[in-house]
Amino acid sequence: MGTIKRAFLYVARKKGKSILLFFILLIMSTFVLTGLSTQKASQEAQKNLREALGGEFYVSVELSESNPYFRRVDDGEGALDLYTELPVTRDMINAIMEIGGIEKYDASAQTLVSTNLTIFPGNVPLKGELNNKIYARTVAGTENNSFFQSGIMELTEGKHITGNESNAAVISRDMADQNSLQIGDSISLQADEEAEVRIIGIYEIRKPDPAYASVVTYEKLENQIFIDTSALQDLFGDMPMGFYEVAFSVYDPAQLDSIMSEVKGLSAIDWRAFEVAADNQTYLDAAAPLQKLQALVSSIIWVIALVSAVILSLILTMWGRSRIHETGVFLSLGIGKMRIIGQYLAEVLMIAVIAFGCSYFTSSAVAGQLANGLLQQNIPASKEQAAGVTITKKDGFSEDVVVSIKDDSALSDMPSGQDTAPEVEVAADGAEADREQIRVTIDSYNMLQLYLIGIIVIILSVGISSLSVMRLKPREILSKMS
Amino acid sequence: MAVLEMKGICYAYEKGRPILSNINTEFEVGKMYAVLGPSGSGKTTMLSLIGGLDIPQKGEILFNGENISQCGLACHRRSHVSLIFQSYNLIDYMTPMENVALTAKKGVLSLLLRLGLTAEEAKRNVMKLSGGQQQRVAIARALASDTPVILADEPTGNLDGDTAGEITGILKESAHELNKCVIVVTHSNELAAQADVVLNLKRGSLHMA
Ligand SMILES: Nc1ncnc2c1ncn2[C@@H]1O[C@H](COP(=O)(O)OP(=O)(O)OP(=O)(O)O)[C@@H](O)[C@H]1O
Ligand SMILES: [Mg+2]
Repeated sequence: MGTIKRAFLYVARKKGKSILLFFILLIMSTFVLTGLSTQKASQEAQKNLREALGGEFYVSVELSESNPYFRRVDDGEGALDLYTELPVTRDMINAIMEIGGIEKYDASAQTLVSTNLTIFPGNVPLKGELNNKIYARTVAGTENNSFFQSGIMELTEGKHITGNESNAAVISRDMADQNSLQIGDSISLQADEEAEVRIIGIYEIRKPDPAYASVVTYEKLENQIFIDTSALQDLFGDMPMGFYEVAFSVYDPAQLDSIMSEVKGLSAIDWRAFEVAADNQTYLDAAAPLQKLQALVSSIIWVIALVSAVILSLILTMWGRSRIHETGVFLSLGIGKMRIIGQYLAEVLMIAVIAFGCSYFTSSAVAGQLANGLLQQNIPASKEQAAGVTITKKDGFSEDVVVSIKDDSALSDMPSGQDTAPEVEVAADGAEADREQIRVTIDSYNMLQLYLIGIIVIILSVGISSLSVMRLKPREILSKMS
Repeated sequence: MAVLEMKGICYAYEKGRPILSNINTEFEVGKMYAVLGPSGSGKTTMLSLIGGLDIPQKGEILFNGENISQCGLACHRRSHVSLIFQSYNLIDYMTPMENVALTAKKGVLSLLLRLGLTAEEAKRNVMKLSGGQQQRVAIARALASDTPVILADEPTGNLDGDTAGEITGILKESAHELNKCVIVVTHSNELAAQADVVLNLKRGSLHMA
């Protein structure tokens, strides 16, 4: 008779023990599976949070003597002019964008220019000449520019500046109407030299920013003219063209470090002239409670597995004593020790396969409740308020991010079919489409993990419980039993 | 030729108190041996050495001329010898058929029927059989394993006179008709009277009666 057949007969005939073992294993696997699924949910929450928050790094000109292109020009009247002969050029930007994981970039530089256009006077007066100047904002592209990203401005006609055109401009609807300008018309701007730019797009002001309520003329939103780098070149003649700082945003802030080291490895860029700095503090702050939860859950899973192994070993050792007789008989029949242990192992595994399967249902019921409880324990521990953690980035480049947890009253309003799965919600405000909900669910990977952990625990327990019996000589076992 | 041979066997549980001292005996197939001796003389000890349940401190046990440690004790127990005990030693969660099937695949039911169990009894839980019936199952299991040697330690010790007689008959038949070497440790003179060879274990040595 084979090992498996013997194990099956034992499980089938010793129903009381089998049922007891089933429930013990069910409880253990429910704990483990709940832990595993909670861990997965918090990982997913972190991932979504990362994607919602993004991360940025800046490539900027090193303004110090260690930069061989750095120039310091004293005009003799006390005004100091600091500049570089090597700014961040379009070629460099293109090389950096070749690296995977970077979503977009943004760079801008503003220059005061004069024009013959009719402009909108600001409500804060300025001295003389400055009252007739406006800002020409050189951009890498208008679409990713903070004015457009934040929704203050919206392109309503024509095209965005993408960086591939020459002498292009985007102006406001008000400016266009005031001066009877249309897409395709040219306007002239003047700085060191005069530059001719062609209007390719028109924007409208959508969300008047209170910060721009009382401003000087050149800061007035209606007066902003966006131009590309070639126009800037024309305005300043021989000056090397480029940006002093470019912000790159990555999809996943967790990858920020590796992307940045790739950037620093680019040989096409003379790194004596530039520095690279990271900004993923927003993500780090927001992710902290989730990371705490994950660390907690990980250690809980370990503790549960360990406690399970101890309890199971004790129970099996106890039962093993009552099976000394049986063990002796098997030994006297010439059945090897490994085959006997194999039978004991197979018995537990048979029951475990079923118990682990059933734990899918028990854990599904428990997991959501537990995860919710844990998150509520953890989130208020951070420095923000309990109802929702609101993190707002200091510059306008990325949108506001809200991390909030649905409270119980919101849960009880849910349709009854869903009441077993409370939700941990991580939402990126300002990007309504990204609003995502994370549920604690159990997938096949969790089940695989459970079976793996479970089988290891069972092998350990059966091994430990068999030690005392298996160390005995067959004669000793047989003499003990009579 | 001897199927089993004890050569200069010595055994002691504690130093200075030898139970078996220099035992030299041969056992042949086709014969039933009865081993008699006072309680505590070392009969069970001797049987467990022959049965490969323990190792002698001195001397060797040969099966067909080869030391049993050559094939290993588990192998010896599986292929050379079968053990029958006073307390039957059946597996309590198995039926008689399943108990016999532990050592054999074929002819399980016919063997049990031949040894006097009914078909219904053969499929009942072993714990719900009488002592005599349980010992028949144990003998069936020993016979089913097809080993040349059968070792029995007081197989009739728990049975009444008539049943003991029947079990003795079965063992004798096994020796004579199935050509087994049957070694029975017993206190029963009735059983000893049926044996082909009677041996006496006294003060550590074995003598022909
Ligand atoms: N595990 C042990 N440790 C120490 N001494 C033992 C052990 N087992 C048996 N003995 C001793 O060895 C001697 C022989 O025991 P054994 O069981 O072989 O006797 P026996 O002839 O089978 O007796 P019985 O007829 O009563 O079954 C006895 O004196 C016994 O007390
Ligand atoms: Mg004895």
